[in-house]
Amino acid sequence: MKTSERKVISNRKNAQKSTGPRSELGRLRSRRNALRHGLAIAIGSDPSFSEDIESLATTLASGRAGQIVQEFARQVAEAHLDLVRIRQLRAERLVAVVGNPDVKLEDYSELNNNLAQLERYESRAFSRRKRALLALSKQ
Amino acid sequence: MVRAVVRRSAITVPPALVPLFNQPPLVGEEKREDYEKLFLAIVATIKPSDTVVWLLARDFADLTWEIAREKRLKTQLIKLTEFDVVSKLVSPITPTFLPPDMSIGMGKKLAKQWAGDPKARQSVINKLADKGYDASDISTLAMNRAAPEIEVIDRRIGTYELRRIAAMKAIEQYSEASARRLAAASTDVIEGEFTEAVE
Repeated sequence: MKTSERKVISNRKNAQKSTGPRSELGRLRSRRNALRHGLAIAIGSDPSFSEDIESLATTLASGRAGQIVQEFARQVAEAHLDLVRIRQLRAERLVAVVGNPDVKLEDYSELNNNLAQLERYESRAFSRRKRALLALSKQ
Repeated sequence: MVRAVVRRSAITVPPALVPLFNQPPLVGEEKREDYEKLFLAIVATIKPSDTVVWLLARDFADLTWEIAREKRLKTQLIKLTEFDVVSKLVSPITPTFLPPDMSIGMGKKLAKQWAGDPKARQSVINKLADKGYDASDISTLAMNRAAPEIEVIDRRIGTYELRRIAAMKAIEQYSEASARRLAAASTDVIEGEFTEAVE
């Protein structure tokens, strides 16, 4: 269902009111968000991925001309590489439990909490790629 | 049963994607060879003709792999909880003058026999029966205890399954024929029921 014009305007207006965390502790905590797993940093702004993104975007756009195609191809590449890095991170976190002979029941609950943190990033990356793929397929 | 036959020589990953496919997200003792077999089976079924379809095929493989891993994780959790339940049920009551660790240690020893030593298992089963517990009680107690974590794992499996369906739909946007072939063979591919014919 398409969001109504009125709703869009209202969302924008409300977003202007948002100032993020206000308390000193909240600001300190949010400042450290990106350092925990690096996923809060957009993959496109991470120089260690720029070469991979460019290379994949070029492959995706090959045979098709136009700046719009390049832009959508880049969006697909960014979202796909984001999914790849999230899955790598998930695998790293699973090592603590999968096949560990000394695993304890508490480790499962910790793992589930850890994976839930990654899930929201994966869900966003998946939606971003879906939208970009749809846009690319229409070009 | 229809089986997808994978011929390695017939499949060539586009060179630009090789570095990207170089590091499948494996965990612990998972074998790269097994992952590649799964991926090859999917690729052999889809026959990607476009870079996007190659990416989606990889996605389909990753998700299939992760679903299987989550199912193993669930089984591992249930077994561990059963072990814990048995070790508590067979723990002797510790006299107050002894540290409680002693009874826990004894319980774990008996639970290890129950889990891994077929000969000693029966004597532990008898001990449990003396206390009024049978195999179904152990399963029920374990499932109750692990229920919150099992629910989270089940939710993850559900999410990955939905994403896999979404990947299949996205393949359909690019190549209807590929998606049709994948849908027809997906039971084989998903359950890993394929044979490999290396030329």
